Amino acid sequence: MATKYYLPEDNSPLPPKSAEVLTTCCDYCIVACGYKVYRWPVGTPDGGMKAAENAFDIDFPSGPLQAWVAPTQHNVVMHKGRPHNVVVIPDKDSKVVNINGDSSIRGGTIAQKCYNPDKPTNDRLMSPMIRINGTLQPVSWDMALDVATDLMKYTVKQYGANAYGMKIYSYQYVENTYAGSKFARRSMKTANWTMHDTPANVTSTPGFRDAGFDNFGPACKDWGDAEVLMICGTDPYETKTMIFNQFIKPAIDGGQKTIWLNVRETAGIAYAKNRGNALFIQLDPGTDTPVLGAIARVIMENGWEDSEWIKQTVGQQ
Amino acid sequence: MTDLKKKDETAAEHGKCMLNRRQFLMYSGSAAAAASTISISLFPGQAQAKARVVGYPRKLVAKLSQLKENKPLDFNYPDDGPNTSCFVVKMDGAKAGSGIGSQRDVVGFSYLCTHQGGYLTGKYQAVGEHRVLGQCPLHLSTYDLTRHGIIISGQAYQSIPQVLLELDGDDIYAVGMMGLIFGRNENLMEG
Ligand code: SF4
Ligand code: FES
Repeated sequence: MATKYYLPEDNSPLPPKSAEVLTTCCDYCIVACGYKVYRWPVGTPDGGMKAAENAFDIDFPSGPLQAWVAPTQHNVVMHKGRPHNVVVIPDKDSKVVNINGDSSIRGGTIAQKCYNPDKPTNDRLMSPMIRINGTLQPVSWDMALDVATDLMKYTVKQYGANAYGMKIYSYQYVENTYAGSKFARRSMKTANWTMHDTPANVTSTPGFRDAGFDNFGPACKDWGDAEVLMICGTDPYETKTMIFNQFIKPAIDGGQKTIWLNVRETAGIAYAKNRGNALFIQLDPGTDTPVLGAIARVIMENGWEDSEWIKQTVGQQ
Repeated sequence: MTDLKKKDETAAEHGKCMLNRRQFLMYSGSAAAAASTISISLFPGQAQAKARVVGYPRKLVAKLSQLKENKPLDFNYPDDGPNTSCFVVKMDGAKAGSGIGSQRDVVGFSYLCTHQGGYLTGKYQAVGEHRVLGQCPLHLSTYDLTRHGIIISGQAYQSIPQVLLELDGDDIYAVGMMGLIFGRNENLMEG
């Protein structure tokens, strides 16, 4: 009988010197932090606690900011027909974004996403499913693709090209995004295509591009170099953790001013407030736009705007 | 005290909000019911699970009468080697998972952040009904000490390890540990 109580593990294996080492990226957000995967067959010796005995080349117990394997960073997967240990930890050799192997809670636990039938991943679909006679049934990829192709052809023939639509993840690997977009727009010739969070092919921050900003324009470093940041409706500590930890937090420590519009006082806001150089506007849900409009109005009334910059950039795509 | 009462949830409610939704690892109760176990109750009066405490030393860490409200007392556990800084605290009536004493408000935890090993010394906070450890000086992780050290906010890979305590008269003993201590591959090191 399983209990629903959480009893965490109190050990985890260290990768041996002989472990294969692969590099990968965290795919949870656009920061794309660097990770290392250590893989070795189950049943062969784990690494030891001495630097000479493990793949990290450090003595254990390790110290702050050194390599460590939390139980959530270990998993067992099938590889070449044989169970293998995998340990996935932030790459301590990272030179950009998650410098020296920092990580968020999402990326930090990506080992849990590896397919393991004894873990919560056991509900993962292993093949395409088609509802046949009212019941979802696993089918082969060939069959699924044949059915999808026939339906797409039928739909386009019957209702026109725009009856076929594609929603696609926009900032996964270039290869996927490029192939998917090209298929929809060039082969299917549909205008009914957009990325993850937008209803049509527009920016996810309406008005921003019209105002002369490219929302994905700034380098990570710009977040730290700015004298003032105004952060509306989000807390990058939670949503783009490495940009906060590696760039904004040190900047706040050095005197960067931050203005936050948020419903809740989240951790990044609490930290900035404690450092004494933050303004936190705690607003009612859904009122950001009127508040921003009011701020813009005060700026205009006082003539504080940079008219030259506006003339050059706004609406000048 | 009324706001403290809100925390006295049923185990079922507790399970709904924290364990199932976050897909935490499940643990087989029958497999764990061996001889060397200690009962873990999320809250007194509720069903209990068993935690494995085999091999852990039983160590006297404090006297109950010596604890001041909301003032952590430091000790080392499970040995005196590296990464063993722990504390025991009486949380001024805030009932806690695995809490001991008549108010179930005495708990023990590791001081080492289970993200990248930041030291959480001096980071105990009692605010209203909340009893937390954080923010970590390195990357701000914050833990809930009334709920087995679960992460409230932050980047840690797991809850902050909880020291299992037993009360014998006025003596508080550390008898086991839930969760892996930062920097170790096993809590119990040989030699
Ligand atoms: S900040 Fe976190 S979620 Fe984003 S890429 Fe890095 S580890 Fe992944
Ligand atoms: S070490 Fe504590 S949050 Fe990173």
